Amino acid sequence: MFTIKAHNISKRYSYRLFSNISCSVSTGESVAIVGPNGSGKSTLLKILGNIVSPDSGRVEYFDKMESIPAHTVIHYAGIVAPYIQCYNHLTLTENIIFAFGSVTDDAIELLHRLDMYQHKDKVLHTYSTGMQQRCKIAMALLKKPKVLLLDEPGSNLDDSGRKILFELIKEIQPFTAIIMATNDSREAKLCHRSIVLDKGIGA
Amino acid sequence: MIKGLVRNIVKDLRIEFRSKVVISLILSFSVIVTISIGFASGGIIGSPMVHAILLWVIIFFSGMNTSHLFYREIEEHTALFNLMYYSPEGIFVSKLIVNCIIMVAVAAIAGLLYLFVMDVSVYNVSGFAIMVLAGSSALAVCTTIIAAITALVQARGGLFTILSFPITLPIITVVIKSTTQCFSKEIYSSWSAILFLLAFSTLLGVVSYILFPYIWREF
Repeated sequence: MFTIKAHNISKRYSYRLFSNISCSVSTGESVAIVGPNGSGKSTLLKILGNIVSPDSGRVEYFDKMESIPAHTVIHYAGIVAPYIQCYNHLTLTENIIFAFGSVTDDAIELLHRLDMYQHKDKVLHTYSTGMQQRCKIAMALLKKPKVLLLDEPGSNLDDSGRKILFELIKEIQPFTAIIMATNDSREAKLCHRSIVLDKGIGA
Repeated sequence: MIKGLVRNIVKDLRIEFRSKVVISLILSFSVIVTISIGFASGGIIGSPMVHAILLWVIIFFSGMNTSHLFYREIEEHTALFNLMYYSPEGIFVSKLIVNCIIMVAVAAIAGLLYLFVMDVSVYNVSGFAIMVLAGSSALAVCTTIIAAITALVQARGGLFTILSFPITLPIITVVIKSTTQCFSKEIYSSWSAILFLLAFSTLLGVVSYILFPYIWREF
């Protein structure tokens, strides 16, 4: 059981982004962060994943009911976000070997499902943005993460890509804590709960 | 950590050989500067010290391009991807080793090129080889942590060279002195210089190893 607990988080840049947001996500639960552009969805996601620090409030992480240091959370997490890229000068196979040491049967199966198997030996910078997004999804899921952080995971994906993504999210949901920042109502509906950010307040 | 270290080294070297950014920058810089100095001086530089200074200035500025390893991780948004799988300590040590490999290669190429173009006689060949190896490795240790720090700021290119210079000054002073002796007929022992370089790089390497996770904890 992996749990993220946020208490009264506030963040501001030159303006107040949001304040006093509290939430909790555990294994088997999924939360969508929704709101208009600029409302702080990605920032809240980064704070919950300890990529960015909040101005006030705190985020606690528990693995098997024991508190773990915040800076180790990234090792438990799979992240699909625009600010994280796989190595573009390597092939997908080389990226998988870099991260996991070998291409396992699970990896081959996932690449087939994502329709990426036939492209696995091409250098990533030759991929379209949609294919690169599929790579990010593959790399995040192959890690078998305890927490999955998804920032606009359906962006750049075509209809078949979204369909596969939705299926994969549903399959991984019982074993993972999922937090998703999204503008897409179809993606948000996949989650059990929603945090709506609007005018600097979380509801 | 060892697995992460090896995989990061293999990955960095593979990316470098494919993109050829650092290698082409370094080679073009060292070749152009050495040949320019050769033409400008007209072969009239006779003092071993001047030769030693020019050689290490070329190596120093060529080595400034090795900072690209960290910059590439930030520019291409791969730093977090790397941190998802490996510890910051492992990433730092792998970059340090790759920087050392590149820096030693740069120093060897720049050194040979300089000796050839400027027609410099080396009286203590083994001492000179050891000094190039130890000096360039020490420079790599110093510049690795500075590159890691400056990778997170905007005007990183200029800042990197400015911040690196005072830290590398003791190394450059020592290697210039020892290289001067290699270029002259004096008999000397390079042990004290090697010991200094070893101690200085070890100290800086350990401090950098401890500091690096804090530097890269937040982007």
